[in-house]
Amino acid sequence: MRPLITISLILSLCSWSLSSNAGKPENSKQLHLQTDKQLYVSGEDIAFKCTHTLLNANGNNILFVDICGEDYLISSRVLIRENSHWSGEINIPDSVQTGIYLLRAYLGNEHGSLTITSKPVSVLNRFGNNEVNEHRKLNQTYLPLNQMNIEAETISSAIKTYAQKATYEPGETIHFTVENNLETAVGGVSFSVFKVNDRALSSTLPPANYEFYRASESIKIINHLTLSGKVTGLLTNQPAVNEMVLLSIPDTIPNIHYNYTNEKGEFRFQLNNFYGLQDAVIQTMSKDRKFKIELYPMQLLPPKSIPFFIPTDFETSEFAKLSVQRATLHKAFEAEEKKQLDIAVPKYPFYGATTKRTYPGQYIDLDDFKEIAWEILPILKYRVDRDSTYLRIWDPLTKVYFNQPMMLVDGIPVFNPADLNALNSKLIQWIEIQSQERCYGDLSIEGLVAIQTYGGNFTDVKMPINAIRTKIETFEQYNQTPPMKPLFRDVLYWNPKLDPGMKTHQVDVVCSNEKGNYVAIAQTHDKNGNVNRAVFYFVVE
Amino acid sequence: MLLLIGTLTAQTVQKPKNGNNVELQGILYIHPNIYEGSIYLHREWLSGSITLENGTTANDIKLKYNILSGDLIFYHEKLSKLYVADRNILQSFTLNQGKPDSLYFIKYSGDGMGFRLKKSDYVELLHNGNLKFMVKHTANISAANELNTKDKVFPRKYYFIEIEGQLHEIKPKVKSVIRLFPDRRSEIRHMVAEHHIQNKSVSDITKLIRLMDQE
Repeated sequence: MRPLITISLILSLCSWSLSSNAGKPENSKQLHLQTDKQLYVSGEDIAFKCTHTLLNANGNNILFVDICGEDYLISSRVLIRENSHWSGEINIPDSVQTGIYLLRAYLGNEHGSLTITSKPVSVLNRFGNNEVNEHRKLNQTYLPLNQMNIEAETISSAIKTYAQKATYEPGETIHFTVENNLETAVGGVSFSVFKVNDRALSSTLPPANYEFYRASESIKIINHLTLSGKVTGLLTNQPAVNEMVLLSIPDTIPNIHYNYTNEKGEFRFQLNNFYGLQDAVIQTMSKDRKFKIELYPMQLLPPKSIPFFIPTDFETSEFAKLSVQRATLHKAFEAEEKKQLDIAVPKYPFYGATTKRTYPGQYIDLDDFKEIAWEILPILKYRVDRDSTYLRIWDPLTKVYFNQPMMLVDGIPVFNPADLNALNSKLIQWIEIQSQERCYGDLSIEGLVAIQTYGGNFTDVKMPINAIRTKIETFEQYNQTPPMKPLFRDVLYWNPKLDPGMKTHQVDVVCSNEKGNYVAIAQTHDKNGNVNRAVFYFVVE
Repeated sequence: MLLLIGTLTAQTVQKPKNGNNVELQGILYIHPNIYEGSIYLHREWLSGSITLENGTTANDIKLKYNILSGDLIFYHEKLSKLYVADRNILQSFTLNQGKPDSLYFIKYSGDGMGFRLKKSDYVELLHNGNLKFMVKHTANISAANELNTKDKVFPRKYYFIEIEGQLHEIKPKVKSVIRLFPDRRSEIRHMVAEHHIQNKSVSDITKLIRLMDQE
């Protein structure tokens, strides 16, 4: 009875998926996603590799990778291509409950044509929270999914992996040989060794069609990391045309980016040299009218549903329990990994070099900016009256006053001089004054005062009007050092790309102390996009 | 100043296709009207391009090179003002872009040679290979010695060859090149004869150095 229900469910799922208008584009077969193992526990990182089999050297360089649940994004990454593939890690937060989630990888070309692939990922919550999975079991259209076994059909004779024997003792070193006889191995050969469940248990694979994302007209994935949005009048709701929009990020070396809205009120910033999670302030230059700024999502929307669940027999199996226990111990004892970001820091502020930097901390404590300006900034005139506040900068070279200089706090432009008065000696680290008239692109800078606070994150002054603040995920690069020591880990070895210059590789792997069944997988793709995989099972006892 | 602006024709600062602007930075420039003679390499405005350290390039900009201060002056069309290009972000620029007599300048990054050439000075690159042949355009000022006269500007040029990172000043003459490469004397003489290098202009010496670099 169960198989009949399963088949009918698969059929209905297929027809439902086909009628869905946000499945996956045709060219998605060119993109292949693989992970270091099959089962994850919350708090762990998924190590992944993504290969595009038809990409040339000048093709798309940027890949978006994310994990999503039903109608929500969990975490995301933006990666830059290394040769013909992308590889990295993405974290599953501790709060993720037991269930099946989607690991997606996608990219777009200059015209927004999307290529996407996805892989369901089984996650166990290490605190036992499984409401998500239990809820999905109640849905009759959802399918049980157990991905613990390896597909036998994908084993190819062009690639081989083997070791001297099939049984090892805990702590023993295994000498693997990986042979690659493919003429062209796109993306190189990946090699992973990890613990598996007893092969006797049955497994299922996801059907070919299920929804990867929800389509949206405002989201366009192209071959650049961009932040885009729309500016409309707050009262009129009409698009603001040709308005200058500023993007700035709190930083000790201020750099701002600007762009103009088009006829639809839309703007777009290309985020070229941004790394990590950035705290951004987006605002219009114009403050005489009130605007509303709406940002478009930078990633694809998650699908409404993920029609799979982890079957009870697996969820309650010894293998699952051991996985959770192992991950918990690993979390408790592992040293914190230092993820080094390769950051390109702009070395020069956009307002140019200044002759002097003033540190209020070197003087007596002054209560507000009015006192600071009066006492220690001779070329800056700052007056706070009941009705108005003004700030002027004296240029000693040309002997003129700049009556509307630009003001920055932690690299963020502010436009109301009165907002500066809240800053005092205890808050301000340094002040720079640019007393020359300068240009920065289309911006004319007639004097500028830059204030850097000790906090450095633009929390000591009010947000300007017509401004929003948001976190944006930008490029992230890690120093990839695969964890060779299997300290409470079930992945003994993961290398997304063995040395491409060699046809035969020797890989030494130290066995875990944990007894059980293990598998070594060597995998690559030929130029037609076919998976070539070699599998070697061994036992630690 | 108004005359200078009035002679300019409107040009558009080119934007890269991705929509981001090429953010030229500069300090407001005021032409010093206190000299007799031109302080610029060319009296007229030339169309050119500026390449920044971040790799972006702004094309079709009106440029002038101030030989007295060693600064590049550009006209900002939108702001209708003249600015001195900020040297800290500039990598290279081309005057008379796209024409046979275009001049390519780079920001010199070596150690320099006294007052004649300092780090971050602009030099015109006449030949770029294993041998780099460069010229620095500059000027001397002769103080006015009569009432109601202005200081006079006398343009000057200093020529340099960089060989494996070592900088040498030379005069643009065959004799000077031979003095720098004494072990290639006969080879140089042979090249001069074979290619009819006349020792009359800088272009001849540039041709000689190019030939020497090819050997």
